[in-house]
Amino acid sequence: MVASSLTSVVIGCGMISEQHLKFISASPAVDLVGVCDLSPARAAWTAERFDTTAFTDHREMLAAAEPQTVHVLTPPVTHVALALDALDAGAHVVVEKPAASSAPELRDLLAHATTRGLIVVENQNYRFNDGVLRLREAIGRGDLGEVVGLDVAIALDLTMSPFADSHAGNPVGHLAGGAVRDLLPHQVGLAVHLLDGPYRAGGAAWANRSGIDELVADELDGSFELGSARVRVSFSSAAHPERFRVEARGTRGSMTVDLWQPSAFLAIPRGPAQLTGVVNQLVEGASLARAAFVNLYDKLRDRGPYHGVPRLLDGFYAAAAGLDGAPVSADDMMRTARIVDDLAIEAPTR
Amino acid sequence: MNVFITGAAGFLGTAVTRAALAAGHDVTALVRRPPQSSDPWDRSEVGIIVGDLRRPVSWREAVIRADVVVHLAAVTSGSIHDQFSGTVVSTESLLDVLATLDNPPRLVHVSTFSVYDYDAIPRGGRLDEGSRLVEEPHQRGAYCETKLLQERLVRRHAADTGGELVVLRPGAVWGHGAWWDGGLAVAGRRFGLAFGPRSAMKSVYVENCADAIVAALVEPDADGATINVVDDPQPTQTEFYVALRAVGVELPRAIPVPYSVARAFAFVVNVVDRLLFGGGLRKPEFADASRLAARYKPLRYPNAHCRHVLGWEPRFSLSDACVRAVAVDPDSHGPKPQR
Repeated sequence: MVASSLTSVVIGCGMISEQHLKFISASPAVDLVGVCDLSPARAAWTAERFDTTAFTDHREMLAAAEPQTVHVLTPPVTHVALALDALDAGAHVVVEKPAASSAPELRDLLAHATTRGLIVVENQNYRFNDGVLRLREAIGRGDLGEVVGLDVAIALDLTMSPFADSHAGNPVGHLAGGAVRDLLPHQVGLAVHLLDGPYRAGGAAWANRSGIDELVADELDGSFELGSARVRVSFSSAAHPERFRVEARGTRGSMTVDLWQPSAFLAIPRGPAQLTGVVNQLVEGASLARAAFVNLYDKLRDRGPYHGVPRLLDGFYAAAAGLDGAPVSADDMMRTARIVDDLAIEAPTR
Repeated sequence: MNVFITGAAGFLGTAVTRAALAAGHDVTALVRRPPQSSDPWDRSEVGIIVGDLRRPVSWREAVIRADVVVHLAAVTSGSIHDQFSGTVVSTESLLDVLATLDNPPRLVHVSTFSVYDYDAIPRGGRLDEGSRLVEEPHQRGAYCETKLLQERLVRRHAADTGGELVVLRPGAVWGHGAWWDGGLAVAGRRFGLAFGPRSAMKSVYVENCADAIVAALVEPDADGATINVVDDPQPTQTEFYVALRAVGVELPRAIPVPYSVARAFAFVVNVVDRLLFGGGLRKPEFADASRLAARYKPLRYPNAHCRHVLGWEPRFSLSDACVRAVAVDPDSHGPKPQR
């Protein structure tokens, strides 16, 4: 897709960097010229595995490597400062979510990029997962009719996660809503991606059910309207099994997508009207059985819920090369950030 | 002596703390969470610091006062990045502080048998301190890779600073709650597969291991040494299983599978992996030839170097250790180790 290769560096060599570095090392469109981490050992280990140069100071790396693109993969509190430095060094930026701590902060960052003729893309990778792609196609084809409801629900036990580690310090503890707020851009970003129309604010109920102070919050039930659809975003650290489920309900049919145990099922009128329910159950059963085998196969070959990352990065590099628009537009990023800010108005703070 | 112990509340750390106290040392224990048990944590000779190695503010003064640092802290489960943070970055933080000291304490670093290259030794061969280390550690999993990186860090630090360093590599440390499934490779509720039933366990009872570590605190000749710590005589997998069952440890019935058969199965899986998955298949330990060898290959594990350098000998035989392990108050032991 991309004609000539772009030079790239990675700032932050933690877990998510693995997805980015695998993409970079496999892509003919990208030439990795440096990695940076505050830990010399981690920087060296990463550089050795991906055959590049290790740095522990990002400004030193930007000056020495002169990259055309920068991946900012550090804790959220550092995103804006690092992205601004990268833009000032003349590089396009892809940044982990949330790109900024608030919509005004994101607006300033995007404006900074625009004045320099550069792009900033937030890693809303779930937009590019198989299930979401299928859902968007189904909505686009009109399979669901007019979408009147969208639920984006995450169940994820945070109590044993790094967010709850009193020693490490919650990397998003500075945000109202804490750990839940960290994942909210994924949820709201999907709604913005799937639905059109004017936004009307709703409300949100937040809680810290576990009582773990470091988490700040671990439960959320929020809603708002986008166009004709009522959107509900929910998060629970207590509910099991862990899942990331999107359900779109329309005037003609509905579709349910699971992103962590991937499956997608479209319920539409099938067969005689009297038997539609039964036929849909049979089709859904077959669909789930097939999904189980595919999931097992994917687990064996190490293909997980991050499989949207390379697709997003492919789009980012095409946009950076001037061949295409950004895979997540500035408008969508701003819209997402504003909705997240609204949902977080009543969120608890540290 | 003032002894600073990282990872002190762990399974081995608790035993080392007890052994160090028994030897007359004062102990400062770095723990991530307040210990739940009373012994040895309520003793006056123990100071407890609740903190994290990656945040030196809580423990820097204790290290400055220490005569010896016993470095046990490591993360043994989770993703490679979880283990890298908890094992390698933590060690980096400790070494950064040690590097600032004019008169640094001796560092007794607890590594692991996992760093050895088992594929390089023929069946029936001898694995000792001179054996080759694994060259492709990522193929053996995150624990092997991060412990190897950790050991390299402490060695480079010692070479750069001239500080005293003893590296101990214990075998499979076992004790109450850490039964290694009696040596079984795949353990269900009623039955388990006993791979390599005649292979040596390369095991060391936790209190015997703690004795060796405490001996390394003071032994002048240990500086610069690398020492494997395993009991002798080494029980076979079967003998270990039988000994645990004899004292009432609940284990499923063992179905013996010769190592050669297990190895052949892993070979077939490897061929399928290469042909169908391009070598990218995620395999469990029992289907991965390299990890299988690391656990079940029939090898000999001498401990003469440990005996000679530390003047150590296993205080408890297998049968005595089994009796002690099942009789001990479970609340006074640390959490079950993952490996």
